[in-house]
Amino acid sequence: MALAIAPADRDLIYSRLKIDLYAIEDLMPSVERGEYEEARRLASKVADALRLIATDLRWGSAPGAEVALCSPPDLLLRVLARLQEESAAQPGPDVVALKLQLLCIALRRAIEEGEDADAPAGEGRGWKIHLVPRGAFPVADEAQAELAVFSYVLGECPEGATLAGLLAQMLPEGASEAERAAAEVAVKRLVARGALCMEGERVLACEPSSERRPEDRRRQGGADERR
Amino acid sequence: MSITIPAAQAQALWRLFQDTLDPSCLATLWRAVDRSDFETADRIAREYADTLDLLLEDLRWGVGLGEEVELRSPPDLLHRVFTRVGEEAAEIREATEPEQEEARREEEWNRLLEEASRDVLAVLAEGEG
Repeated sequence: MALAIAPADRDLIYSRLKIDLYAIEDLMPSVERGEYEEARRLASKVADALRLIATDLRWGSAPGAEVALCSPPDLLLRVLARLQEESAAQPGPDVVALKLQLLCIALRRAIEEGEDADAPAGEGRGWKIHLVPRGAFPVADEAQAELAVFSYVLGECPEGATLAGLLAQMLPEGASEAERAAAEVAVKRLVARGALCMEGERVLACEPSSERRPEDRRRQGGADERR
Repeated sequence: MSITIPAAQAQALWRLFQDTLDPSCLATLWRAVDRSDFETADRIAREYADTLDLLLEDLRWGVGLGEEVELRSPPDLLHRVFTRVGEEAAEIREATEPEQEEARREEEWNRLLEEASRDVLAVLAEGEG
């Protein structure tokens, strides 16, 4: 059974891969300059994008239903790793890049762990894969800490949670002061980058809240119960 | 299974695929997407990807094609590419056959005219002598 992604997640990847196809314009000039490694990189990027779209994502606007990823794992992992790397290198407060980064991490993990569409909702797909294993918060890694917080706010965080509430629910029981401080710093950094915003005491993702799918909302209760 | 092709065949392939590297080729794909002809878009995408892979793995951007080339791409990819190349070459041959026949006839007329001129002039030269 193939891994499945939501239409919004498909759109996120498709829109990036469409841009990748324009790398073909730089291919022949690279060959003419004798830059064969660059030509190899560009050709591989374009070929992978074409295959993933033709096989899984399909062309044009998003389908209404989930999209199954049936491409060979090595192709998926290669594309996701590249997209993750490129979106991580994106300068400035780019919420879309952060979301793409999260999605790539989640999907790569799902593929590597052999997750499939039968995985329990809230644990096996897209956003809702826990980026940070329970019981650990990446204190020493700012980027991972930001991703963990952003992922939580997008996926499981009760709407309009206060900062204190968010930290209390996101962090494992008995979290250390260092973990709490690192999480708080990550929230502030995300606010500064424009990925999160504060409405009074409430922490919100700086994307329209309608982007969160209704089923995510319904699953919030379940996510909370698991704690 | 090892497959090797002579240098001349590799050069012919490189000559054919060079056109694929032209960005305008993707315009055909986008036109198909725009008119919601996704089947055509899929076909073009897969053919394009196959060609790029063959260029990457085997034809190496046309560098060092003075020697025979060992094809290392996966058999399924080679099967798809060479089926397509063979069909396209046959189509081109069939399409250009009338022109080639005409060119052959033209060449024969020319040869006869040259021959006639040479023969007549030779006889005239003998008479003058």
